[in-house]
Amino acid sequence: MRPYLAIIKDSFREAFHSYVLWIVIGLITVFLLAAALVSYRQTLTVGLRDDEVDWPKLVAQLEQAKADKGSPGAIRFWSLMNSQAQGNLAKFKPLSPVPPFDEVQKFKEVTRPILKDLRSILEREDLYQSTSFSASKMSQEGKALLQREKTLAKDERLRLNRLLLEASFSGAIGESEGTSLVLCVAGWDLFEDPLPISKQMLVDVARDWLPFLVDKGLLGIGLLVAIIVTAPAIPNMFDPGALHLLLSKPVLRSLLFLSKFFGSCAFVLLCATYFFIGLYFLLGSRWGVWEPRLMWCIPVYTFVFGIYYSVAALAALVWRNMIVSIMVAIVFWALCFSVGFSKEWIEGSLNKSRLRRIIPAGDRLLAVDCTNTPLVWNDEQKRWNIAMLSRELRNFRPVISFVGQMPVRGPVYDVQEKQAVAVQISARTGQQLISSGKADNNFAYKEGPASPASAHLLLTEPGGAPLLATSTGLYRLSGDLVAPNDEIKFLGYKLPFANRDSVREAGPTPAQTWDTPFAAAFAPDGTLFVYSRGKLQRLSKGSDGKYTLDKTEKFESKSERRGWVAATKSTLFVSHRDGKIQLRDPQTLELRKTLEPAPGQSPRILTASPDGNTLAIIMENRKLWLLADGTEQFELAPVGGQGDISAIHFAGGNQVYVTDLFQRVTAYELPDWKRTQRWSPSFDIQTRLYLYLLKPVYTVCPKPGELYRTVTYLLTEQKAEADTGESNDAELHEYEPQPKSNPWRPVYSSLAFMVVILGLGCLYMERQEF
Amino acid sequence: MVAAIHVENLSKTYVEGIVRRKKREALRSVSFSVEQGEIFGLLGGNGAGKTTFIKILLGIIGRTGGQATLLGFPAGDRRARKRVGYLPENLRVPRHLTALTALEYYGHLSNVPTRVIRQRRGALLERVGLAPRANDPVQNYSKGMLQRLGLAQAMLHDPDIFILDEPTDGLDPVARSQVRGYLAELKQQGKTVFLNSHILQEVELICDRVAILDRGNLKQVAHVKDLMAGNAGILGAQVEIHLDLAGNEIDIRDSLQQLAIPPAAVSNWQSIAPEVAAHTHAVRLNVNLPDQLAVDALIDELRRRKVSIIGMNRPRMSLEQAYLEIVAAEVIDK
Repeated sequence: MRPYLAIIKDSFREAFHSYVLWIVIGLITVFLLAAALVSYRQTLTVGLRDDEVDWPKLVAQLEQAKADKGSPGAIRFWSLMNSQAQGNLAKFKPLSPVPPFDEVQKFKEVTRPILKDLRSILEREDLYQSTSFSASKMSQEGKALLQREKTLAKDERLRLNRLLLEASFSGAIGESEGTSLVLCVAGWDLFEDPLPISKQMLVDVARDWLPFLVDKGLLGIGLLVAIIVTAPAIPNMFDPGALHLLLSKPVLRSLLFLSKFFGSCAFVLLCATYFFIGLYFLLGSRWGVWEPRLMWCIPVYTFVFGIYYSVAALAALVWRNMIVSIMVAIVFWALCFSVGFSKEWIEGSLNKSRLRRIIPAGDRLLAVDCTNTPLVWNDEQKRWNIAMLSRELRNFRPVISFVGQMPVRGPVYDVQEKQAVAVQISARTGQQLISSGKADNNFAYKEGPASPASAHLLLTEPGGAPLLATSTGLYRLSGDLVAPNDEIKFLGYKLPFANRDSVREAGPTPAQTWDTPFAAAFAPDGTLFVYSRGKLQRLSKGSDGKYTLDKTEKFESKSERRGWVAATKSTLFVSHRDGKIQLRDPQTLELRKTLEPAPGQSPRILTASPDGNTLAIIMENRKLWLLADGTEQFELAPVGGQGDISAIHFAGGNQVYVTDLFQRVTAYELPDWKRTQRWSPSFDIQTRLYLYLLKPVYTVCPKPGELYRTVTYLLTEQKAEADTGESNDAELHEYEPQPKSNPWRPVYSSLAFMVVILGLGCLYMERQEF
Repeated sequence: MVAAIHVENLSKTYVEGIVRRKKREALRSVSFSVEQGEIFGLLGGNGAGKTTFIKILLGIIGRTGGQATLLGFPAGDRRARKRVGYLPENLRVPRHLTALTALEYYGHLSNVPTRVIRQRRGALLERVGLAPRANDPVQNYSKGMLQRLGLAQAMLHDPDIFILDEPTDGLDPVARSQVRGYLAELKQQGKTVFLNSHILQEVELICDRVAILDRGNLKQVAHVKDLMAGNAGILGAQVEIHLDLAGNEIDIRDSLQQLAIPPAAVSNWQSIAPEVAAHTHAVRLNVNLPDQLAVDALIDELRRRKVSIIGMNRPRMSLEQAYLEIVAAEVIDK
């Protein structure tokens, strides 16, 4: 071990001998010292800032005080105002929504003297009068100050005056934090006015910005400097006069190389330790942010350096040139960055074209992609074409799908009428209209009646009839849905009728208030289960064809607002974002058991076969799991493309359709999952580039962009992933969960990369003749 | 006792170029042994294969064919390398080291404990004359100082065999003399020294035995004194003698003529003193004679004619001459 430790020690000697190192340490020290000059001072919040005033309300209340009708406090303030300020009240005009420049100027001319006068009043020691101000309207802080009103210090008196102002003009003057912060540089106040934030807010802001600072600042600039400083170590070793002597010593060549590598890493570890310990004490002592998790940055930073340095070391080994070594490291960094960026960008675009629903439509195949656009398969062109969309929506589609989801529900296929049915928003009126399309017309858009209420979901009843679930209840769609000529319109809007022609109310009674996120599924016996924003309901179909509500179960947690439901013969399955599958009694809705096929993964699709024998679930990692009815053991489906599956559909006749590779649909025959047919569009250039270049390169390269997640995870309570569960996105009806990744995954993949590169270096070192 | 170095049919072929692969033979079936305790010199011109030979011994490069052992272990074996003190040609010590830290570094690489290094390094630096500059960075050292530091590091771990590639290269005459002294001391201590050099005068003074390499071929392995003796000990071989004679010049010339010695065999005829008496001269000449019998006949004839033989010697061959003769013979043959 001694020889290898000597090499590591020599790396330190070499680094300390380098002028660049001293410049780096000097820069770190200068940075820390400069940052140490910046601090803050906590003061009581006093005075009044312009942005804290709701001028229309303040002026209104002052006008009331002028008429002796306002609160006693407001009257007291009015009485202390000078004549100019009082006179300006009459000139006050509120700003228009988009005020022109001269209007803003006039507004300021009017309000500035009032503000100035109020500020001077707030500095008065005799503002408080017990007859004018009632303690009951004061905050706890104000009450405490009033109790010792006679003995208040000057700043406390100013604070009390501010609280009196807030209490007197409720709603017109913003409530202030007890303390404000004044930023100081070398003891000098940086701004005239204190910042209206508390110390805790400052700490929170600093904590929020730390990952960004560490990732972009240090991992970006710091890495380059570290690589430049350590770059000569390995090329210097290859000077023939030095190398031959080293190789003559009783040391293993590969360990010689690794020792040099780890020597440089140890040196960087030392620098990083100096910097982060300095930063830790700086943030703690000057800003009150004692953040021990900052120490995580030391190994992370050294590790990231190690990844790039392994490439630089291999280049140095092969070319034995410092400049080439640095250039290769920089090019490699740029490659990783650009590949990661391109992959994310193209993947985002391709994911929008992923199919997330499949709808067999007779001998044709319909689908819906992730932008919510209905598509139909064209067998001649071997591609998916847009179908069912109105001309307006087709025109707006590039814009709408770029920023969000197409406003379409469905389609579903009406077997009896041989037509596809969808609900979409009219681009002209904004009204939800039911539309249909026939297979023989290539599913072209045909406008139908208006939706009776806000449409949430289109389902197909076990008998094959389309059923529309809306915010108020269910409606059965039947017959020809093309709009009749005698439609009643008002100002261009179609009047929705619940029981007219092809749209018939289907219960339940009384009307429900269903909200999004909304999900629903039929059991094999025709029972309908609905999950609407944390509310699970069981509806059974009566002899009149209407559904009646049998049972309701509520889920209070915010994370349970979104739910997925499916029912087999004997079990109702309910899942939430936590990925746990609840097995419930379909009659009583009581919970029997909870299963978790893929821990930590949210479900994407939960569906059951029409015969009720099989449950299928696609998790957010795009793996398809199956559960046979009556069993409790999930199994991965025996299909290709696991990890890339985006949709499944059980059709009649033992057919199952599974989508993978963005838009490829494969039909399997149950029970042995034999492949029977495949609809595979030819790849465009973008897809080819992604599949055959970007993805393989990205898989092999370390992922600097993803390491940001690790740093964030380590620096922010280590629950960043759990936080996303409460995000507003999850509340969206068309929410598409993003694959969740382990925050340590970039570390594992980067470590694997580093091991491979170092292994190649060792192999080269062992086999090469020098 | 195991030979310090033993090679048998050792061959090395370098393959150069990536697209148009070109082979170059650096060593061709070289076989010889170096016994423990001797100072052995490997001679050869530039590109003869000397450094390649050392690299193979130390495992820096692999051999293409044949066998090579160092202290009984296969060439390159770590157990053998542990017992080797190596001084490479054009030694480069990292610029950030001083003589003291360099010895510590190289000592640790040879697995010598720090305590032992600190005990030894002062005396070693004193011995090689670097003690006054021990704390100076090596970037300020001259080539000679670096060479001496290299010798010190080679001796630091008290190895059994020293492999020195051009050890006196860059040294001044005094330092060369010192190095010869160190090597003599090492020999006394029973250490083996394998010397690689093209400075033949040094080798002549230091080595017991030498091997001569020429473009990868082993030409000769012999004791230095045997090489320098040339063919003096062989009665039937051609002989060159140097004569200082005093007598009548005509008698001297008649003697040579009498024995049918062709004019071309006589060279360097010069007068070495003014005429001492009438027709009496002192002259010096070199004569090439076919064998020792011709020498005896010439002496008899000169004496018969009353020519005094002031001096006579047979010139001794230098190692350089021997080397050139061996290498040049090859060139002439070709």
